[in-house]
Amino acid sequence: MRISEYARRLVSIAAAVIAFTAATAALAADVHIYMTARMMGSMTLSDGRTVATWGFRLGSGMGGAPQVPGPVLQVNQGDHVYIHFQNFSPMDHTIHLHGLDVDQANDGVPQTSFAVPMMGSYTYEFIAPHAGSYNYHCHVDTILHLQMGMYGAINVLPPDGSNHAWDGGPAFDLERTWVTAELDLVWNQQQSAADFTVYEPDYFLVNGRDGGDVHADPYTSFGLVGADTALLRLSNMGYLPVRYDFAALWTEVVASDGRPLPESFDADGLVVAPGERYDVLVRAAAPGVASVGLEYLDLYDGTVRGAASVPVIVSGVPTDVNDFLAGALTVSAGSPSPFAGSVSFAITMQAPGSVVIGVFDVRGRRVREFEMQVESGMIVTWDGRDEDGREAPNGVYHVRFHSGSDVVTRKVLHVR
Amino acid sequence: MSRRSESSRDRTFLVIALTLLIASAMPAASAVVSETLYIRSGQLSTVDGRTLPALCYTSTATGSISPMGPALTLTAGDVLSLTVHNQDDAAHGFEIVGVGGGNSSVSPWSAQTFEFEFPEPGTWLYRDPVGYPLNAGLGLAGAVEVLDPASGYDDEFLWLLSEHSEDWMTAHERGDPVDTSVYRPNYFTINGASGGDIGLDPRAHLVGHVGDRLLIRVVNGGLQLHSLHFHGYHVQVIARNGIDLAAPIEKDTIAIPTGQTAEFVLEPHQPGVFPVHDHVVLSVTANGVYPMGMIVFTEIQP
Repeated sequence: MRISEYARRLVSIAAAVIAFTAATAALAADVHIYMTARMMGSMTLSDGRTVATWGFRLGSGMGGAPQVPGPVLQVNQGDHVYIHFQNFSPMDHTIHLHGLDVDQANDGVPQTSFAVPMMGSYTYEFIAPHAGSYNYHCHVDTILHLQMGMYGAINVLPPDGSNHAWDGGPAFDLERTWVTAELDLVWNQQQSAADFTVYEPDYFLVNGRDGGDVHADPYTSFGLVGADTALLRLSNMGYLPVRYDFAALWTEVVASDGRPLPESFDADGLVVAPGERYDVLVRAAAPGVASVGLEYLDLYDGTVRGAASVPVIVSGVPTDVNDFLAGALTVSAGSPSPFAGSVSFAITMQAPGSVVIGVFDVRGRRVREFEMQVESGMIVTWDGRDEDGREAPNGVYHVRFHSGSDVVTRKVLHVR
Repeated sequence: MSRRSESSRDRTFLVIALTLLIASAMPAASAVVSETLYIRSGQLSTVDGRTLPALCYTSTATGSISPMGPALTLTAGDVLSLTVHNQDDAAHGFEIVGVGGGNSSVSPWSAQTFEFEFPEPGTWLYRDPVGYPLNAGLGLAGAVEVLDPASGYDDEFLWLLSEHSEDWMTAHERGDPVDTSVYRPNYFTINGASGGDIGLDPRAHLVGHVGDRLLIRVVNGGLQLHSLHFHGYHVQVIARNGIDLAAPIEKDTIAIPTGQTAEFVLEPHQPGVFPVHDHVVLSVTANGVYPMGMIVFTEIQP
């Protein structure tokens, strides 16, 4: 994803979050979610290639492109959830509510329930049974529709909507939902005509991003300050098991498939098989940038078919009260520098806020400017391009980070 | 436990000695259960009407073969006395993974008798350890279920998962070397059947009632990972590889690596017809056609 896309995505997600927050404020509320299926989507991968996608989007209108993954849906345990689904596409689709143990009519399987035809609609209805992590996906010709992007996550909070893994379960300060999948270019291009006996995925996705773009996705990467606890909701909508390496972090696997585990365990080496979900508590072990490694494993011999990594920025345990002043901004040195493709910076903030990032050449001319919302920490990546998408010339650039009264400038060297 | 000797005379003595030893050591309820398996090559029929050359354990010396070996059903405390007739031109063996037989070898066109003790109930995989993974991948695998007479389940089901690689099978039939570094199975079966055909097997097609307590034994007899997803229900995973878990784990998707087994208890809270399928969706196909692979249904009455 290019950085310039952030603003658009932030706006759509923020609107969705506000809608859900309003809808779920009361206990055991009726929650109405409006979703459409669309098949005219596209997705830009980290190497610049654009591929076709099918997927879901929030809303009830015909317009707009689908998201991959679909929006993260959030409800409270006990809520009566209505998903008003409209199929604005030329093929049958469904919403299967993966793990929510809904009744047969709402299960979204064409063979045992029914498919929603082109221009058709259906309201899927269920009562969220247990706090935890779930998925939704189209169950029509699943082998293709899932691969094309028709999947997403449903997170169920405790009945009071509080930041706990379940009612009476462990608390968390922030959460991230990571949905993994793969993308086979031949399948993507040939679609229904593809040979589904040969699966050679080319891209290994976390929340629909691959490679360096995983780092730049604020819905994937996160920061930990002091004794923060993050809840990671790991799910796998791909066809290969994914092994996690949390080497530099303290972790505890507390739940799976929407149920607390009888005994928690360390997540290092955790394998999440297709269709499984695991809820992992993460805390800082030491200050720095701790990368979580993901390896997508071969079904037969377990060799690594692809990989991804997600940076987790850990700032030190504060010793000075001034470190906790709202808006306090820290920015790491650019890495790598010199850089050829893109350069990344780790940002932490003591309170959520917006950061304006400006890139200037040595003569002070502005090459690029963008604004980001930072919750507590994230990785910001500049792709070495100007506002028009042209690669910037070789040379020294000053990258200025500006939030409230805080300004931090970092110098990087671009060498093509 | 597996006991084996090299010559037929030694074997006979050993079997007699073992039988006496075990008979004196076991509780009175224990029984020696004699079974016979034949290792044979033959043609498999696929769900889409094709045939593939396979190697299988069968319960008969002649006649058609099934894609997977027959289930060996015992009761806790039993001793299995199993005679394996190798009717193939290559050596094969018989291993119960995690129990014994890993070094077994039966010469072509000869027979051997093995003994295994099953003091505890559980579920295991049997397969050919010779030339692993080739022979196991060609179809030489099956399930062992050891029943608990005191369990009180309303019904018990058995799902033996497997894949079938046309590439391996046809190369092997031609006598060509099989490159086992590459494995691209194109058929996926439960109890030897695919897609809608699985529903014809009463040990696979799960029928029960709301409130029942149903046991499902799952054996991965293939060479790949499978990740079974239940629609409509969570299940309690109570055992893995023949060993009870310290506490049941409630799941709707359960990963079962190659060679492993698991036991689930399903206590349906709602009626309905729901699929259970591999969420490695590649395995829900037959020669690339979805959904003709590893998918079975639960049918729960009120």
